[in-house]
Amino acid sequence: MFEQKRLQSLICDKDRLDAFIRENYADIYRYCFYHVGEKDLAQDITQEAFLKFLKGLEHYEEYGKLKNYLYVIARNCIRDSFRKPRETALEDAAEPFSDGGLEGLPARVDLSRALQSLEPLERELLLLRYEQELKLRDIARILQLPVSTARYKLKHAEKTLKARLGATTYD
Amino acid sequence: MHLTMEHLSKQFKNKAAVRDVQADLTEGVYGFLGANGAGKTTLLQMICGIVEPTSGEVRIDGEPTLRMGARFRDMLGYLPQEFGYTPGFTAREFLLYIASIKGLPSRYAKRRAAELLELVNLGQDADQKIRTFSGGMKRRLGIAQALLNDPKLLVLDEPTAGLDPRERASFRKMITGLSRDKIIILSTHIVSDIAYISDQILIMKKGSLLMQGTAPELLADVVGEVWTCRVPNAEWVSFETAHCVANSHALRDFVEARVIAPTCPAEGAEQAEPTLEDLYLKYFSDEKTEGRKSYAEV
Amino acid sequence: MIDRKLKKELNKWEVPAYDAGELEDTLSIAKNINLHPERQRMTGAAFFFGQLRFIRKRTWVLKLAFSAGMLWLLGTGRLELSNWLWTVLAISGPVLCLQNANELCRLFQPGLLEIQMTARNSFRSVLLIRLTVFGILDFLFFVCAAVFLSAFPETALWQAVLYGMVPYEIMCLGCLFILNRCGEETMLLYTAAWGVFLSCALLTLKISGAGIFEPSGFGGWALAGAAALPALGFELKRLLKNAGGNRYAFNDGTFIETV
Repeated sequence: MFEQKRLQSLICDKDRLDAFIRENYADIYRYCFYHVGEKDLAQDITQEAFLKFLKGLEHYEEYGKLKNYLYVIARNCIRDSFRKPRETALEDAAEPFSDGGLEGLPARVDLSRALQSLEPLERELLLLRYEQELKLRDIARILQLPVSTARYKLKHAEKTLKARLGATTYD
Repeated sequence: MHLTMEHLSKQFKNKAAVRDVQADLTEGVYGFLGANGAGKTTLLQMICGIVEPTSGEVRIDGEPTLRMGARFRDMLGYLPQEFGYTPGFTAREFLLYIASIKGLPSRYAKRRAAELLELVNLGQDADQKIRTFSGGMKRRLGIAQALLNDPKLLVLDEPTAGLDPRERASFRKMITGLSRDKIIILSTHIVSDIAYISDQILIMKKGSLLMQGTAPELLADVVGEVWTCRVPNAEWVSFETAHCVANSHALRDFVEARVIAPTCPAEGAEQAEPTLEDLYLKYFSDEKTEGRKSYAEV
Repeated sequence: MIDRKLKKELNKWEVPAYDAGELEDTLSIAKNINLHPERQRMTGAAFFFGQLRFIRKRTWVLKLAFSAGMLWLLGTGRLELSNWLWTVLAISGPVLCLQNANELCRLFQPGLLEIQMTARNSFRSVLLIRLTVFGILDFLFFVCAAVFLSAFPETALWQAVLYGMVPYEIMCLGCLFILNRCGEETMLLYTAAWGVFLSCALLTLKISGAGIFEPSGFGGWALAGAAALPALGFELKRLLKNAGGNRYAFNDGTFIETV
């Protein structure tokens, strides 16, 4: 009910809409960057995500919250960008969510390797939980998983990552 | 969108207000023309669903409006002949109240009310109490409330009553300016209000629909029956009672008259280009005009 | 539960800041997207609370002030039982109901009524909201009054209930009867007259020593209350039904002779 009210205020009040975009831009941008690794591309996808989000606002109900829907749209945009033929000379066999962002990790090569050894879904769960700081319930809705599955997989991811990192210099 | 009136009738006790009206309207401006008591108001009330027909039905795209309920009312904007308001309210408060019962969220309602107040030139009086308004201002406020929910069907009963010529002109401009995706129904007994802006004109008399069509189509009915002539002063009185005179202008030696007659009414009379007023007089001159012969009696 | 150490590790991942210009660009494009605010409609709850705001402040103030005043009078035992306690309670009903009628009558202005009948939220719901809110407030008043009064030794609960509710019921019945049948212009006058009449009748009966508040009068009061109830229901139903339009005749519909 409150979410419906929030939706109405976004639609009816341009200032509220402005505030909503400002509040969430940074998070979505970071999320995109983690997946694509380039600043310009991340910015483009972020803009695309917000605009697509606005054009299909009513569909938020499937995902519970407006913000969840925003993430779903972002994910779709990221996936679409990998399908497009890339002009840059980067990897030909790029896969969505294979996280080109990981190449952008300067300092901790071991973190990068540890993360790359995880399944894409587990990486995604860690990203949404630790970096985006979303609640488990919301993550489940975004990824269209039962909450119990999300919880289980997340715990498994945490354990695996800690183990892999601990195998190097982790105290 | 199609608004269909099928065999609409309304009987009040032993008086028939509307008799078997049949019409099919699509997007555009429709002027319902007729004298007071012709049944226009009752017909409009039946279209809006506030008076139940004795027989017949009103339908939107095939669906009876009475069955559509709130869905129908959501696409409707209505201005009654006598505009009423909540006592003690200012213009803005009144619009916000109506917006509330039309279901508009309050944030949007505030914006929309301000917009419409500007549109009808009541911006500077928005926070005055309505009871201080002139008749024309009240009518403009009434038009504003009808537009709040951006209705697809706009029904205005005598919207120009009490407006001065300048207000009438800006009303006409406003109607023409409204988006073309609406069905706009205006009822009036003032021909000039709808002559230019209506796509179609429907003439009602004694509860029945006399004729319906575009202005040129209706005018065909009175072509060749409008004359201008000069009548010597001495003969004027008898001439006036014997003929249906639309207009007369007394000059020094004679009277210049515009007459509606099936045949040439006087020597030297010339045919004139008919207007809708002439058409109106042809059919309505038998209603309560002292001393004037109606067209039918000539 | 977020693992703090893990979080610290993951935070070492640096992300370059985005360009402020890109954000502004997104904002300006977003501003131009037409989200069709004109198609939005209020939810039921929003409509309910929205309507409350259109009830005059004056009505709220008068109602609450009157109720509080009466409860204070009744509860603090300033009135002797034999004299005015029951009379005050009995007259409270018509006064409260008159306040309600006053507020409702405002909606029945000719010309305004038709506009309300063609709005998305039916006039019936507009009426119902007000009737419900007023009904709840008045009910609370009578409950409190009954509670206060039953604390006194010589009072019986049935007296507190009947002497309060029956005049209220009868007043409501009269007002609804008037709303259903009278022209809009005269409603206010007639409901006020009815209220005055009822209050005076109660006062007169009390002063004349007819003993309407004697315990032996239980039968009379109970009968009056029971008889008024179905009539009240009938009038209420009629009001709500007619509020949906389809009335037989309207004041400014014009009539012409049949040929």
